[in-house]
Amino acid sequence: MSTANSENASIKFSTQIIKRLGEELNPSIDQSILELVKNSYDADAKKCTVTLNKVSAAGGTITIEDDGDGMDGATIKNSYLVLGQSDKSHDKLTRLGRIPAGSKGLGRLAALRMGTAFEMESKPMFIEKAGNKKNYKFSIKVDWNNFDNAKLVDDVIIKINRQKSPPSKKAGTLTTLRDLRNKVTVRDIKKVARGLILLADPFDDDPSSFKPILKAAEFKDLEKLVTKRYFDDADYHLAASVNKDGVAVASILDFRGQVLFTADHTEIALKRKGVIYKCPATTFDLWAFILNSVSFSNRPSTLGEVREWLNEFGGVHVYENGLRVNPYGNPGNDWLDINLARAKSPEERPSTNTSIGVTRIKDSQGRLKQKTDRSGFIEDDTFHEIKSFCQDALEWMARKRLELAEKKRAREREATASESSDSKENVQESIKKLPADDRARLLKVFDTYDQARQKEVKSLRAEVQLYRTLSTAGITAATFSHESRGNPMKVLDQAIKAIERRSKQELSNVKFESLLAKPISMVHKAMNTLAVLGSATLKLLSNEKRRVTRVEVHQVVMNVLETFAPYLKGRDINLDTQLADGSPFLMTTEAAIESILTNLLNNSLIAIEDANPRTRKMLIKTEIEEDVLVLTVSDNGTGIEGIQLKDIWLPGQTTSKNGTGLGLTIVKDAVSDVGGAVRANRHGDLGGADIIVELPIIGK
Amino acid sequence: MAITLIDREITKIHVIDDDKDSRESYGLTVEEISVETVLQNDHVENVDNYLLTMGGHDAVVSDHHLKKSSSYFPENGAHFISRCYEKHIPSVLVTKYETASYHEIRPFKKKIPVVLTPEQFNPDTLLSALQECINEFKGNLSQTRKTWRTLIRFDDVEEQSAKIILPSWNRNQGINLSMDEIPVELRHLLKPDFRVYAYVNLDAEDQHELYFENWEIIP
Repeated sequence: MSTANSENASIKFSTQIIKRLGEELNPSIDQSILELVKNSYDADAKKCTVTLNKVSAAGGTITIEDDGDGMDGATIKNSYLVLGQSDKSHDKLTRLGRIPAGSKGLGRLAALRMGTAFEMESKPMFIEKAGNKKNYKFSIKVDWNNFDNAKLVDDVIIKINRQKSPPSKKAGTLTTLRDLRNKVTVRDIKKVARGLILLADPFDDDPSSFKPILKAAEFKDLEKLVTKRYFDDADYHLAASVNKDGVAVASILDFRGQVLFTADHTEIALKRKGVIYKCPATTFDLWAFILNSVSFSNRPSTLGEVREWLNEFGGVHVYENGLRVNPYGNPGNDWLDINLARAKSPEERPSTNTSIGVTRIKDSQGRLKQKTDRSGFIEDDTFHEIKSFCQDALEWMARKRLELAEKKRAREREATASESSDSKENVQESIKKLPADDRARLLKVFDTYDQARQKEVKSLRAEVQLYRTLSTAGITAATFSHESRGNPMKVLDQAIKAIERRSKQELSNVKFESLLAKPISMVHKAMNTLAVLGSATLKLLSNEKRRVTRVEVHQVVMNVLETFAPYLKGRDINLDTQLADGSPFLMTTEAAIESILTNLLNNSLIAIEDANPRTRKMLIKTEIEEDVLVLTVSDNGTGIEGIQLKDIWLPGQTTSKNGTGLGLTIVKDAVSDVGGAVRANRHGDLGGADIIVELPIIGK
Repeated sequence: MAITLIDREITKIHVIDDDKDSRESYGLTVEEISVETVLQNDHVENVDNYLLTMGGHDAVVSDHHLKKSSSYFPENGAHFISRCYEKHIPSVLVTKYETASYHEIRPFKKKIPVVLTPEQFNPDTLLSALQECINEFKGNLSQTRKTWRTLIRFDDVEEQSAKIILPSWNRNQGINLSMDEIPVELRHLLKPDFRVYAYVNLDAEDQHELYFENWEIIP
């Protein structure tokens, strides 16, 4: 026989769990304070004041005071002090019709744990009918040290005190966090201020909305900035919305608020073939600014102040049921990948520095879930659908703005042509009104002028055509260079090295040398040349080289010569480099100097090839003459023959069958851009041409 | 077939490259080491699952650009090698290391002890690279990989990139960082002459070997 024994047990929580849930859930001081402010919002407060006292070192105090509905003893006991269970269900609206923002009480715990103790005093608005509790206030004091010293959470008793309160005292809650564990830095204060200002959609005009206040100087400055609204300075306003059935519409307005374009769902949801958005009703507004001094020249606001405003508040902020959701729209948070889209196709697209946006989501059913650590929404299907809707709307705006820009360009081209033809007729008409003698003479002069101008237009058109052709050739060459430098070169290199290693291993040294050493070395040499050809093209294309900066000419010369070295060696060119002492520099782009030298090198190579001298010589020389750097490229090629010296700089003028006739034009243009000058000698010391470039330098 | 590097026995080297010919050409080099060469010919859908197929005797050689051919590999080589590092699988990244790649690779550089160019890749450099990985797993970082707290000055700031100067590395050479390489919380503060501290491997010879961690705002 056996006797059945049983004992009741329950799960208990160690006080350590308070620490885990508190400190590890809420990442930053601004988010913690915002949690307490959201409680005030849920209590239907109109005002909520956050005061920081002696917080520049640990041990300070923070108070949060609101004029909300307050709590009685029962609410404190059954709701405020109960963690993980919240009566803030999304479908139960507050007295003022707000959708509760806080959840589960965990955020509150993290906030309350910022100090080593906290006090909460609350006067409720609605008193139980019995009447005996009328005009009472309720308070609790919690010393977290008591938890640290106890074993289980339940072991710490918290007393709810009830005290009389004069009827004149209004309902509300005051929370005091004492003896802060950490100091609050100026940067933290700025973040708190920014968080509070943005919390209740300051972009909306609703005067009855929730207004949290921080008593700190940083708050006032920022508040001033946010209340200065520069939406009217936006060049385009995208207003898009998706209704509860997932159907989207959008329009683009100009700065006067006039509608430029509208789109229905099919046009916005083009990429997803019209499939509806499975998300709660959402609106998305984006104001895009063209920030340049020309567009701001006749506006009341200055470019600087709009920049500052955008810098502080730019980005796309998200508001769920009227309250802001962190971190969307924070500095550096580009949740819609606006900058990425702009980087891929820059024309007519805003960046986070030139736009401000608001996504307002009405989610009464709580379809979106915020992460417990308050770092945004859980990125589930609903969130992605909202993101897709906003991105599709942006995409549509970009398409429309591009259309506008293209139309404008076409109009400008037409206008220029017709302006020119109108002017010509005007001149001819005016000449006809002159006395007969003057008329004939002037008509002749004008005809001569007109013919010269027509010739110039023709040559400019040819030049543009040539530039276009060369650009296309350049782009194609770069693409192929990239491709050939990639996989085929890699395979060749690995394969030939494997052949070399394996044959050395299998064959005797003598046999390897006699049979394979030479052909393998030839393959290596040919591959080196190919690699140079590829990299020379690619190196010219780097974006960073087109940035205006301090450029040290000698450094660029050395880089270009290094790139060309195997190529020059392959052509048996004896290169002599004589660079002046020092590091002369100027403000320009590396691409400009590179383009000057590369074109001069190419020119010399062609001239040397045409002359085909027994010994091939080239000299690159720099001299510093006060604030000018003189760069001379000389060779022993054909020199300048069969063309007037001044014409060598004109486009399309070449005496070589292999030349484009554009190299020296580019050199001259690039040198003019930096304020320099060019000249040439038909035959210099080496026998061939000397091309001399003078560059104004700002230091040496 | 196996080789022993320091105290680790390596039996298999996986070769990952989205181009079949390149993969096979790297295979030619790996074959010359006495281990099994495993060419990753199939598409990899899930990197976590793929890493589970590897054990303590595996090593990896991977190209950086793995996403040119569609769906071969879900992430680029630098990211993948850093994940191998976390699992203590010795791995080598082989790439041409062009300007665009620097910015992609640098954020993972802390967990990529060796990057070889295809020209540098041969049986000897491969073995010494794997050895360096194993040394790092034991906490022995080479001098060029150790980081030191140092001052960084922003010289020029643009929308997508910034030029910085590391005075304790080379006060005359600007280093271009893409915005993605700079912590999000710093980006809105950036302007010319803005200064921060970070830990950087200051003994690196080439700027492409540099990596940055633990950025701090100067109060």
